[in-house]
Amino acid sequence: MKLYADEAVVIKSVSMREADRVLTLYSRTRGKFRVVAHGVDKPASRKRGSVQPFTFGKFLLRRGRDLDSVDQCEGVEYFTGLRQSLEGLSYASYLAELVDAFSPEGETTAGIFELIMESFRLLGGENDRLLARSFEMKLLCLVGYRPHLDSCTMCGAANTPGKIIFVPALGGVACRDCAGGEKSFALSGGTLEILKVISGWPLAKLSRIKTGHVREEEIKKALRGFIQYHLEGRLKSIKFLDWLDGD
Amino acid sequence: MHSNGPVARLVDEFARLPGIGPKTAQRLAFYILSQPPETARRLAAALTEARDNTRRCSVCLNLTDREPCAVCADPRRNPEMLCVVEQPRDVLAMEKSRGFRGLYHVLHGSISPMNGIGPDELTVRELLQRIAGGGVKEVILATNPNVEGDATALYLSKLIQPLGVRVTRLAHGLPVGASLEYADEITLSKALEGRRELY
Repeated sequence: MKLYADEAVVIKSVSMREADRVLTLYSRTRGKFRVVAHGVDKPASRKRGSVQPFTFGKFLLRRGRDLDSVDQCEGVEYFTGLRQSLEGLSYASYLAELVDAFSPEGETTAGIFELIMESFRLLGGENDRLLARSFEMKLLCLVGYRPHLDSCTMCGAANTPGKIIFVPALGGVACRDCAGGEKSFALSGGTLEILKVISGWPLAKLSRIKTGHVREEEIKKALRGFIQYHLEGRLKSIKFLDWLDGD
Repeated sequence: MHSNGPVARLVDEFARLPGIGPKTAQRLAFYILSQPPETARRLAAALTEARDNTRRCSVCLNLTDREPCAVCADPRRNPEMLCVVEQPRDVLAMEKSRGFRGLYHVLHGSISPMNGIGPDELTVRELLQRIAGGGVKEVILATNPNVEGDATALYLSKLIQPLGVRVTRLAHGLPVGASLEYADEITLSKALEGRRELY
């Protein structure tokens, strides 16, 4: 069959030639995959609205030699909440880039599609920062990089009260003796508890957690260090988020 | 035959232009060569002149060959209305509509969280200085209706509103002559959001 249907969310859109775009889609059944949408930058294109980034839609796709192409599409959910604020759009860009970076093409990881959909529905509210942290933790767990937080990753010693050392290169927290010279981040006991909670709690309930600026910053730095260590690079949207946060 | 000669160089230069593939580049190059030498000289002179004499207008930052540009120097224009566009070509589009008689400000880009492009890479500082200079009563944000354009408009409106200036954005909706049946869902919902009363 040359044509097949799928439902997917657009996580990236890159301009190609005059009016074409290469879309990165994420679907429940196929995971991440790329397709070409021909002519969508033309003013008369009927597909234009449905192929905007952060849109969930039904796609009729045509198999191609290299990339498949969009034959027809219909937008189902536009996540209008995230489009109403600069923070919402910026965090959506970051989460989409994170999924793109952690997902190999054509590989399905259970839970990621639902995580994207739920996050996009909630973005644009009061809690975007904590939602992003929770998304990071949940995504890391889904792709197999869950940080070890219960005891020292090396010797298994229980966490000592007071400052805890989080070492991305060791995959989680470590005791002072095992941390060695690796780059590390200091976490308070309360911050560690929040990290554990946000990896398990439903995104919709995050507003119940009171974090405070200091703890939020600790979590942000530790998770960013962890993600950068595993991706071996910095994501493009981080620069903009830092600017938004006034860093 | 011409792999290293001047003809190949000409083809290569044409092929660098946007929307021109190798075949079109070849066709353009051979067309130029088939014409009298005067044609090529005129084209070369026009290119050099345009490149050498075009700079940014010190007021609106649009591309111009004179200082200030023709729009900024026109006394019939309304200086109280400022239309903010992403690119110089957007000024051309707005001017073609003949519906706007105010002044422009060209950002030379748009904020793109996805690509890490922030406001420092645009001409936002110049825009704020212009508004702070006084005389502007309304800023019309004419950025594109996509993620980058939305982000730019949201950012600018946050910055400009505290200055006591009215901030508006171009309406989103159905193009003239379109049929509802063929409109996509997001455009239709935007058109519904932006509906207005008939008098």
